[in-house]
Parts: sequence; C-alpha cells; structure tokens
Amino acid sequence: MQAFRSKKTKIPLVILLVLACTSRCLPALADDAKPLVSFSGFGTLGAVYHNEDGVEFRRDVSQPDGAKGGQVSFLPDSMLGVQATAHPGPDLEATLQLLSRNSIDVNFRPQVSWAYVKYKPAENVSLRAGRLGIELYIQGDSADIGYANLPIRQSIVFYPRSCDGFDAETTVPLGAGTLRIKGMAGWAEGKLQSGGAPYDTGGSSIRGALVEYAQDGWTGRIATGRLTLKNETSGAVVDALRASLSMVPNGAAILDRMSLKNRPVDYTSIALAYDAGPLQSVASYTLVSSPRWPDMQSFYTNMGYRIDKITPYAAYYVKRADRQTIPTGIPTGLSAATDALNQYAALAQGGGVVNQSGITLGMRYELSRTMALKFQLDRIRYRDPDSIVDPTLSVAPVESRAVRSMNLRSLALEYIF
Amino acid sequence: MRVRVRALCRRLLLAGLPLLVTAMQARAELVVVMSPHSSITSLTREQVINIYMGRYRVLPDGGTARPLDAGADSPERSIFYRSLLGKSLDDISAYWARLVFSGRTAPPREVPTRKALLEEIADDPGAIGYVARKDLTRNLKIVFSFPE
Repeated sequence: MQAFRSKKTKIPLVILLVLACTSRCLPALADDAKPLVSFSGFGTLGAVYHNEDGVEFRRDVSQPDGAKGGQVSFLPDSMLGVQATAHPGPDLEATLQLLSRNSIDVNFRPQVSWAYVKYKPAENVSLRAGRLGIELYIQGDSADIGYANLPIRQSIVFYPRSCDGFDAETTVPLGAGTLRIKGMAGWAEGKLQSGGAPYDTGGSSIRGALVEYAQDGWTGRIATGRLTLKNETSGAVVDALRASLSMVPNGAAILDRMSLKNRPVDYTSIALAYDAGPLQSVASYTLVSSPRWPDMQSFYTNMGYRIDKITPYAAYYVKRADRQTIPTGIPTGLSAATDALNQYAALAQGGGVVNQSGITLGMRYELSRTMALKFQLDRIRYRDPDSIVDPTLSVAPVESRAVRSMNLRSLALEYIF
Repeated sequence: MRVRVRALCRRLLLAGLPLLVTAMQARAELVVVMSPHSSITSLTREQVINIYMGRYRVLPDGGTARPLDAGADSPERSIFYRSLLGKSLDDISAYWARLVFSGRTAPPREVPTRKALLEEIADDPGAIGYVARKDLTRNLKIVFSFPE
C-alpha cells in the first residue's frame, strides 16, 4: 500500500500493463462471455450563462475558474471521459478511466480518474485496489457522469473525490431486498480551491464504510468516513497572517482553527432514493465535522417524472454552517492595520464555512438511447459561497455579509458511447 | 383554466396509455427462462430484478446467474424492462452508465439474435433470459412468468 502513496503515478502504468497484457498475452484465460478489452466513454458539452458582473460560477471547488457574468461559458460542465476495461480472467478485471475537465492546474489535460484491478473471489464479493472514486455520499462516485444523473450537475459534491487505495464490498440477500456493505481506505488525491490558494488533498488518509439496503424501487443508505488532512496551507499571505496572529491575544486559538495539517474531518451521510416506473427521486443529508470547526450540514433532494421522452425535474439543496469566528482580541477602530488584521483573521477562519442554497428546475429530453439534452434553470443564494467565486465578499466584513443571489441558465448535451 | 387542466390530464393519460397497453400485453406474452439443465425451478420477481439490475447475481442453488439481454432493438427487450420495472430502455441505459463508469458491475450481456439467445440459454445452466411465450422450445424452462 505504501507504493500507492509514494508512487501514485505508477498506478496507471500498472493498469496499462495489465490492459496491454490482456490484449496480447492472455487470450486463453479470457472468459468467453466477456470481451477481452472493451472501450467506452461518457461526456458532456455544457453551456452556462449568468449575468452577475464580477462573479464566477464553478461546477465545484475543484475548478480554478468558471463562467463569468454576461458570457456563455463551456468551462464548468464540459468534460470527456474514456474507459478501457479488460477481463484477463473470469474473476479479474482491470479498468483505466481518463477524464478531461476543467480543474485546478489541469486545464482539460486528461487525468486518471479511475485505475484499478478488481478481483471477485465470489459472485457477491469484490475487492478493488488502485485509484478509486470515493462513495461517501449517494451517487458520489458518479458526479461527472452527466448522462446518469437527473440534473446537469449534482447539487452537492464533496471533495476529495478519489483516492489511491482499496475497497471491499459484499452484497447479501436480506428479506425481500439486498444489503450491500462496503469499506474503503486509501490516500486522497486532487486539489480544491475554496477561497485563497489551491489546497492539495494529496496524501491525506481517508477511510470509510457504507451500508445500503435496496428493495423494489427503494434504496436506503448510511455512510461514514474520516479524512485526515496531510498538508498545511501555505503562501505569502497565509504565512504573514500566521506571523501576525502569533502576537495577538486570541492568536493561538485562531491558528489552531486555521491549521489543516493532521486535521480529522468526519463525514456522516444518510440517504433515501426511490426509482421505479417513471418516477425517480433522492434525498440526502450529510454532516461534516472537525474539531474546533463549526459543523457543516447539507441536505439535497431532487425528483423527476418521465413522460415519454421528456423528464421534467426539480431539485433543492442547502449547505449550512454556523458563522462562528474567534475574535482576535484587538478592538475594532484601533488602526487601519489592526482592522485589516481582524478582517483577515475572520476570513481565514471562514474557509470551511459555507452557507449556500439553490433551487433547480430542468427538463431532460432523450435524443437517443445514449444521448440526452438537458435545459436547466438555477436560482442560487449564498452568504458564504462554496463553488461560486465572488471577490466582493472577500473585502466585506465577514459579520456583515448580506445574502446574495444569482440566476443560472444551463444547456447540456450528455452522452455515453 | 379548468378546461386547460382537464386537457393536460387527458394528454398525459393518452401519453401513458400505449405504455400501459404494452405492459399488459407483455405480462401475457413474455416469460423468463433458463436451461432445463439448471436446478432452478422458479424465481421471484425480486430475484429477477436483482439479477438483471446487477444487485445480486447468485442463484438460489448457489450458482452464478448470467443474465442475457435480447438485441438492442428487439421489442422483447423493451417489453421486458417495461414489465419488470416500469422503465424505458433510455432509463435502463442511464442506470447502467452510473454503474459501469463507477466500476460497480456490468450490464447483462447482449445477444444480438433470438436464435443465438435461445441456444445460449439452453446450453448454460447459469444463463437466464426472456422470450415470448410463443418462442418457447423444449430446451427452455420457465422460471418466472409475469402475472396476468
């Protein structure tokens, strides 16, 4: 497992070798029923428009920039994924998935989103090792598969999204339904940016488990996990702020809250989904907590009803955290410099604080069995934004931020092949 | 306004009527079959759903179920999923997109021709498929029938 952590770039090479060997060296081992190597893919060509000057709309916090006001932008939602899957034996599978999308330091350069070897010692047991999607909330491992999702983008996406490690799952019949139990562990990968400089989650340890029960059209699910951050934030501004805070009365407490190194972040999620006949719906609640941070609670729900080729849908989400900041202990108005320090200290503590909600109305039209066209309207309200970049908020006093709102129009062509 | 609402309801009903008729016809005509060499004598609707949707593919005798799909454009395929789940093939395609691209499990294997499908089912005790009742042969065993 150490190899996964220290030599992450070698994982895709290993998978590629398995794929190459599968196609050249192991035809005799192949299960007749499955193609030796199969290729498939998915993609979204998505356009977004809003008219809020100075504000950028990002799909999620993994993107460095997004749609600017008054311009049609293809940046947030457009992406392309390709996947190769090999079956060197009846119980063995190797998969490599490359994804091209707008994300920090990448700018649409294809990245390895999945690269794993799966072994099935029994039909209802699977063990996977390599780069894997993190499934700590419902549908969390398929947020980029637009064609599989009802809205153009999932209302709430938690980061990190993938890790280098392993997972194990089993499914057993229980009553009239099935019970799926899964555990996973590994090291996170990927960068995110929620105000300030990008933060690299790489090397942060993550472990989690979920229990899911499905019967008829119903699926109920409980998941829990812990991410222990490895890296500290850095940069000239942060370093200068740290130096200044070390000299103020409440500086130690503020520095403790700001610190990310070795910080445990716990996730607990419950969800209920219904998918039968023309109706599909999901509701999910997630609690994210960490010592000396205000708890962040999130809830989202969506529902769609298919009428022939058209599925109208609606969604609502809210992310909320208490806006508790530790004062520096320096009175306001003492000097311009100390007021600026107070403001920066409050902003620095607000990194993990999100207060944002949204309502979505949309329509999905099936162009073919592999392609859908979606049109979507979003009304987003925020005080402490998550994915939205609003520079004017960073100069407003944290305590007196007003609630802002924006309207978003989106059109997306989503497909698989 | 009331007239408009009534007109809308009527249109929705009319849109759903063909699906209802199709589903009723399907229940009368389609059956789920396995090989006569299989020890399975019957499956419940929930077991058929679990097998075809990739939730649990272990047969009651402990063997592995290998579900087969009819050709992409065959009427049997559309009728089968409509009868079993009330879902269109577009819905089923979106369902499998999520599972395939997150590495969970694979969809039933498609066998393009009816002849090949019937032969595979007959020869493999783990294979499971669906056929029109009129296409039944002595080499196939009914394990599930949609209620009339």
